[in-house]
Amino acid sequence: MTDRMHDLLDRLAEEAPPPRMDPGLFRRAQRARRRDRVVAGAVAAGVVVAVAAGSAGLGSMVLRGDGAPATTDRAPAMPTRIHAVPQHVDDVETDLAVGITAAAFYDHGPAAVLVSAVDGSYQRVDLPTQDERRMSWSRGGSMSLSPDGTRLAFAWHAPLPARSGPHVPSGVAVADLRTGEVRRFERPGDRGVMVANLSWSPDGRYLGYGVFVQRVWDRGMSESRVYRTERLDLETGRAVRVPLGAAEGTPAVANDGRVAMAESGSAGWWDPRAEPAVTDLAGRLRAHVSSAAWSPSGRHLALGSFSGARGRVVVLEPGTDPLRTIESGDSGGNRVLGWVDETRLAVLHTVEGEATGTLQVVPADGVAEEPGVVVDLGWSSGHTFATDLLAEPTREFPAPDWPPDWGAVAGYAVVTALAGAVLLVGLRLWRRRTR
Amino acid sequence: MRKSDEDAFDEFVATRAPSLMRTAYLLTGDAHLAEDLLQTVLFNAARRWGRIEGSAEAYVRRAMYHENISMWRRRKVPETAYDESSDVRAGLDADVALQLTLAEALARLTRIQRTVLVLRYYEDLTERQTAATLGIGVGTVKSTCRQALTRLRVLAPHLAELVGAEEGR
Repeated sequence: MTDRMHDLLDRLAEEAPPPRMDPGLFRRAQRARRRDRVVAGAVAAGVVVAVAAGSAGLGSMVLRGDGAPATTDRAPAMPTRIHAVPQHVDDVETDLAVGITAAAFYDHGPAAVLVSAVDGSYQRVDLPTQDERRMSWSRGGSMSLSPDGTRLAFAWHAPLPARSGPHVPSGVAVADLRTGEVRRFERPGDRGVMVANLSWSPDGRYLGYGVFVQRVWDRGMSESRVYRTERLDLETGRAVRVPLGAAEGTPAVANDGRVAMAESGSAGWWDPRAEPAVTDLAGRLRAHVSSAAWSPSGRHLALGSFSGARGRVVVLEPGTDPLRTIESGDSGGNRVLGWVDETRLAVLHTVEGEATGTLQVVPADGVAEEPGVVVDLGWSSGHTFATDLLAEPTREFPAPDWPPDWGAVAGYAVVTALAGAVLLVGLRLWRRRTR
Repeated sequence: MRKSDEDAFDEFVATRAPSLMRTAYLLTGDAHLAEDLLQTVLFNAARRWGRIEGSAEAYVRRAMYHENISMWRRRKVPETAYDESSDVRAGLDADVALQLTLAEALARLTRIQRTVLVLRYYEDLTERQTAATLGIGVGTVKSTCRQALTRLRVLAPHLAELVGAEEGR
C-alpha cells in the first residue's frame, strides 16, 4: 500500500511539464551577487556620510539607495511598469547575455537599457556599434526586441573614418540575449548604410528595416539621400529589397514573408507571390496610420495611428474583397507593436505632452480592458517590447535599485559643511561683540 | 580539465531539473507555480554555486521545500471547500479515478501538510529525515502527517483504504 501511494504520487508527478530553463541563469545570478555586494558597500559608506552630515535631506537620499536588490526569479513576464533610468546612472555592461528580456529602450546616455523578464532588473549595455552609436540611435527604431524576448536586432557599423571616403562596413546585427553571441549582416551601399525602423515577423524568422544609404559618412558628419526598405531572412541570411516606395516607415513582416508598411497616413503591402505584388491602400483608409503589424496567421493586418491623431487601430483582412476593416482601441496615439495572439494586439498608447505611455493588450474588435503596463517616457526613446510575454499576466517587480547619486550627495555634504562653517564664524563674531 | 562553475551548474540543471520539476509540481499542484519555485531556488543556488557544501541536489531540494512554504505564506491563498458534487470519475479506470481524487485532495491540504506528505511518500524519507530536512521536530512531522492523512480521508473518502494503510506505516 505504501508503494501504491508512492506510485500514485509518481504518476501525478509525471504530469509536470518539462522545465523551461533560461540558459543565462548562472550569469545573471552571479551579476546579482556582485550587485548585492556593491549595494551593501554603498549602503555602509552612505550610513557613514549620513551620520557625518547630519542633514535630513542627505540622509533620505542615501537611504533611497538602501532598497532590497531585485532578486525574485520566476518564469518570464512583462513587468507592470517600465521605469526611466536616472541621469546619474552611467555604468554599462558589455555582456549581452542578460536572459529573456521584456523591454528595451535608449536612455539619456544614450545607452541601450534591457529590462529582464525574469527578475525585472535593468541592464545598461554597450551595444557593439562603436562610439558613433549616437547617430544610429538618433534615427529612431534602430533597435528591436524579438517577440519572444530572446534576441535583439540593432543597427551596426564599423568605426567611422576621420574623413568620409572609404566604405564603412555596416548593416544589421542580431544579439542572442541568452548567450551573448552577435551575428552581423552587412548590407551594401555607397559609403555605408545606417539601418533604422527595425521590426520582427511574429515567428522571429524575418527582420524588416529601412536603410539610409550614406553618401557622406565620417565621425563628424553623415548625409543620406537614398532610402530603401529590406527584408532579411535570418535562417538563410538573405536580404531582399521591398518595393514599397520611398516612405521611411517601419516595415511589418508576416510569417510568410509579406511586408506591409504604414507611414504618414498611407499604407500598403508587398506580396511577391501575388499579381500585382504591391497593394496600395491610398485613399481607402479614414485613419492617419503610421505603424503596422501582421497577426501570427497572416490573416489580419493591424494599422495604428500616430500621436496627436484622433484615429484608432484599424484591423484589415487583406484577403477579403471588399476590404474588411475593424476599428478598435482608444483615440490618440496608438503604435501597433505586434499581436499577442490571433485576436489581440499589443499597442503602445501615448498622449501628446504626457510623460508616460501605456502598453496595452487590445482586442482586435474592442477597447483595452486591462490597466496595461505603464511606460516612463522621460528622456527615454526607441521603446521595444517582447510582445509574446503579454499573452500571460504581467508581474509587479520591485522598483530598480539605482545606485545613490554620489554627485548630489557630495553636493549636499559641501553645502552642509559650508553652512556649518558660516554658522560657526557667525557665532564667534557674535560672542566677540557681546564681550 | 576542471570544469568552470558555470559549466558545472549548467550540467547540474540539465540533468536534475526534470526531476526537481516533478517534485516542485507535487509540492505546488500547479505547473506555473512549480516553474516559479524551481527558477527561484536554482537562481539562489547559482548565486552560491562554488560555496555549497555537500550535495548540490540535496541543497536545492531543501531550498525548494522551504521556499515553497514561504511562497505559500506570501501568496496567502485561501483554501476552498472540496466539491464532491462534480463527478468526473464515472467510467474512469479505478487507479486514474483515485489519482484524480488524490490530486484534488492534495490541493486542499495546507502547504506544510502537503510538503510533509511529499517528503514521506514520494521522496520516501523517514520521519527523522523529513524533520531534519524541514528543520522541524520529529513530533511535528508525525502530527502533521497524521493530520494530513486524516484530512485526506475526510476530503476524499475513496482514499480511506489507501490512507488507512499509510497511517500504519
